[in-house]
Amino acid sequence: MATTGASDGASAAKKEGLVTLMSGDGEIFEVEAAAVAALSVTIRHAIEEGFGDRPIPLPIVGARALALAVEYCRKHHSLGGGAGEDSAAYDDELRAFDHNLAKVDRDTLFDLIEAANYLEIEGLLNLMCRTVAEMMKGKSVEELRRTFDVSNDYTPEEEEEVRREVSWALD
Amino acid sequence: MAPAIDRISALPDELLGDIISLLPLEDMLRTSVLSRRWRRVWTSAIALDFTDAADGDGDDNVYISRIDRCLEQLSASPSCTEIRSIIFPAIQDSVVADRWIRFAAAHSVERLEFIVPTGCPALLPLSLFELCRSLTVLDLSGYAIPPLPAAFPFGPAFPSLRTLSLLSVSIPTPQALLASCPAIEHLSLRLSSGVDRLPASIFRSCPLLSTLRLINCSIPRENRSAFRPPAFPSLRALDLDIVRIATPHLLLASCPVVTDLTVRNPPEGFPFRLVTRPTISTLRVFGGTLRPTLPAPSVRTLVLSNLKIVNPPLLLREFQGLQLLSLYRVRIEPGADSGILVQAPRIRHLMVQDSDDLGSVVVAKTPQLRRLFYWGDIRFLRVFEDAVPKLEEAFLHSTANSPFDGGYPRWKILMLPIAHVRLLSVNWWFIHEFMRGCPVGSERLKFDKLKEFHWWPVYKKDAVGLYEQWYMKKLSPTVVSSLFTFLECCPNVQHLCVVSTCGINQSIPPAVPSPEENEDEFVINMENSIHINLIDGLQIAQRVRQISWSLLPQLKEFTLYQFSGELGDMCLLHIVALRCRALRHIRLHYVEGSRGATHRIQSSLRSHFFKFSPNAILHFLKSSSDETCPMHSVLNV
Repeated sequence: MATTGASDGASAAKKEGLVTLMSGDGEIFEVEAAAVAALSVTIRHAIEEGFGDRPIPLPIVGARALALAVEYCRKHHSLGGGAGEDSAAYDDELRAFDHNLAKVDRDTLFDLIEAANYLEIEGLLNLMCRTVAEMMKGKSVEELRRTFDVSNDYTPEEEEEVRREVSWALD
Repeated sequence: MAPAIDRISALPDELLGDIISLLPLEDMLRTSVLSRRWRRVWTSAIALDFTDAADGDGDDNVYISRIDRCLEQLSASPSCTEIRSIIFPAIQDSVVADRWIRFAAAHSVERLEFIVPTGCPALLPLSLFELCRSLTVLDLSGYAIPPLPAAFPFGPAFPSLRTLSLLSVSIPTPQALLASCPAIEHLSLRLSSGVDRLPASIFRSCPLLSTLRLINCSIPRENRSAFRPPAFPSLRALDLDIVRIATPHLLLASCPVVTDLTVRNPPEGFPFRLVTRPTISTLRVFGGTLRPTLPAPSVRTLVLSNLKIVNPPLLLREFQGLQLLSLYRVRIEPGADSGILVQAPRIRHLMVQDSDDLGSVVVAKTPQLRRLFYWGDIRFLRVFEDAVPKLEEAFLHSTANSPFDGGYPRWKILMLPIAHVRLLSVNWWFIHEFMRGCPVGSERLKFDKLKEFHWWPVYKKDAVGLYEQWYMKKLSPTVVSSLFTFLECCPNVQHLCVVSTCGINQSIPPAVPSPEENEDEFVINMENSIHINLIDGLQIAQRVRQISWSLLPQLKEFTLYQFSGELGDMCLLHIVALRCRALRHIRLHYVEGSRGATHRIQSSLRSHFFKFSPNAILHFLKSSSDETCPMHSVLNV
C-alpha cells in the first residue's frame, strides 16, 4: 500500500508549489507547500531535505487528523499575521475557527495532539493542550477518571497514601 | 461496544507536563490520585502558581507547609528539572523566602513572582541576587530590598532580566539595583514612601529601557550633565503616578523617543506644556487640574480622567492632530466657562462619559469622526447638521429617564444629523422619547443605513461605576411593542441585540418601576407565560397586533443578553420568530438559575422556532454576570 502511494506521488504530474503528504494509514494529500511549511516545522525540514517531489511519509499521523491539521495550517497561513485594517476581522475569524476545531470528539482531540506534536505545529498543539486542560479543570478524581477513561490501578492502601499526601487539594 | 481507550495516559510526559501546567495547583495535585501512571506526572509541570495553596482560614503556617511539601516532592522527582515560571505568595518571612528562592534557582526559573504580601515587610534575602541568574521576569511585592554592593564579583545579578516590577518596597541602593539588570526593558517601581529619590542619572545603566512606570517617588534636581547624553535613550512609554520631578523639562528632554506619556495624580502645577514635545503622540492624564497648554499638534490620543479643566472651550484648540479624545468624569474649575465645541479635522473617536459638569458638548465639525460615544445627560449633547458625514457607530446612553420631556421633536433634532450610522447603541430614553409624539408612517425619521441596533432598557446609570444610581425599566410586552415600532424605521437592520431587564436580581441593583409603567403592564398570569404555547402566543400576538407582518426583512442575527424566560423576553422572542423571516442565528445568553436556564423553557423555544423560523439556529449561552452595554468594554481606553 505504502509503495503504491509513493509511486503514484512520483509519477503524478507535479503542480507548482504543492507538496504530497502520506498519512500513517496510506492516504495521500496534496497541499500547498507554503502553508504547511510555514506552520509545521517537521514538514518544513522534510521539504528542505529534498522530499519535495516524493510523498512525505508521516507514519504516526492518521488521515483524519492530518486533514484537520492541514486545514488548520491553511487557515492560519492565509489569515495569520494580517496587518492593517482587516487584522481585527481576521483575528475574529481565526478565533472562531480555533474555537470550532476545539469542539472535536475526544478521540480526534488526542489524535490531533499527537499529530500536532509530531508535525511540530506549535499553535495547534497549544490549542489542543488548552482544550484538554479546560476539560480537566475543577473536576474531582472520580470525574477525571470517568471523563478520560483512566482505570485506577492503585491498591486501596496506595491510593489512601496518595490521597493523604494531597488531601488539601481534594476537598 | 469496545471498552473506551485511555488516550490521555498514553501521551508522553512532556506533553502531559505542558497540559497540567495550564491547571491551578489543586487540579494539578489531584491528578496524582488518578492511577500509578499519574503519581508523578504533576512534577513535570513547567509553570506553578503556589498562591492557589492558600489556607481558607488565612493561616500562614498551613500555607507555607503546603508549599514546602510540594517543593519536597518536586525536588525528589526525576521528571522535575527546569521550571519556567513560579509564583509564590509574598509571605514576609526572610527564612521562608530564602528557601523558596533557592528552590527556584535550582530549577533555572525564568519567571519568578512573589505576590500578595502578608505581614510586615521582611528583608529580601540576598540569595535572590546571588543565585537567580537565568531570570527574565521578576515581580516582587512587599519586601524590603537589602542594601546591595555596588557590584557583585560574578557580574550583574540578572544579566537577562527584561521585566522587573517592585511594589511597595523600599530601595536603599537604587543605583546598585538598576546596575544589576543591564538588559531591562520594562520597569515598574512603586515605592513605599514618597520621599524615596530616584535620580535620572542612575537609569544610565539600563540603556534598553523601553517602558517605565514610577509610583510614589521623586526625581531630584541634578546637574544638567546628568541628562546629557539622554538618560533614557530607548524609552517609549513613561507612566508617572504621584511623582515629584524637580526639573521636568530636563527629564523629558532626556527621553528623545518617548511617544506615550501617562501622568496620574500630578502634583500641583505639573507643567503640561511639556507635552508639546513633538514625539509624544499619546497623552493620558488621571486626576489633578489641566490648564491650557501650548499647541500640541503631535498628540493623536488624549485621555482625560477624573480631573478638572480650567477652560474647557480652549481645550481642543491645542490638539488639532487629535484622532481619539476620551473624557471620563471630567469637571470644570468653579466659575470657569463651560462647554466644548468639537472642531477637530482628524478626530475619529470621541468618547464622553459622566462629564455633565463640562456643560454642552457640541459636535460642530468632525469630518473624520467614525465613532461617537456619549454617556451622561443626553441634553448636553448636540450635533450640528453635516458635522459627522463619516460617522459609523453611535453609542448614546442617557442618565436621564425622560431627557426631552417634549418627546419626538427634540429627539429628532439630536438624531437627524447621525441617522446615517451603521451601528446604534442606546438605552431607555431613546425608544421612550421616540414614542412620545412620533408621527405615523413616512413622516418618521428613517435609519436606512442602520445594520446593527443595540438596546438596553435602563435609564439611569453611572457610565462606569457598577450599580451606582441605576434604574431599569421592565421589558414588558408594551415596551417590546414600542421597540418594534421604532424598528419599522430601520428596514435594513441585520443584527438586533437587546439586554433584557426581566430577570435582574431585584435586590442589587434596585429596580424602580414607575407608576406610569405599571399601568401599561399586562394582566397576564406570569406563570402561564413560561410556555409559549399556542394560547399564550395568541394572547401576546393580539396585544402586539399593530406590528406589521413584514418586520425587519433583513434581520439575520438576534442576540438577547440576560435572558430569563420572563414574559417580556418571551414576547420579544415570539415576535422575532414570527415576523423575521431571514433570521439565521438567535443567541440567548441566559441567566443561571432563572427560568431561561431551564430545560422546559429552552425546549419549548426550540420547538417554537422550529415551527415558525425553521432556518434559524438557536444558541443558548450562559450570561456572564455583568453584561451591560455590549460594546462598552470595547471602548475603554
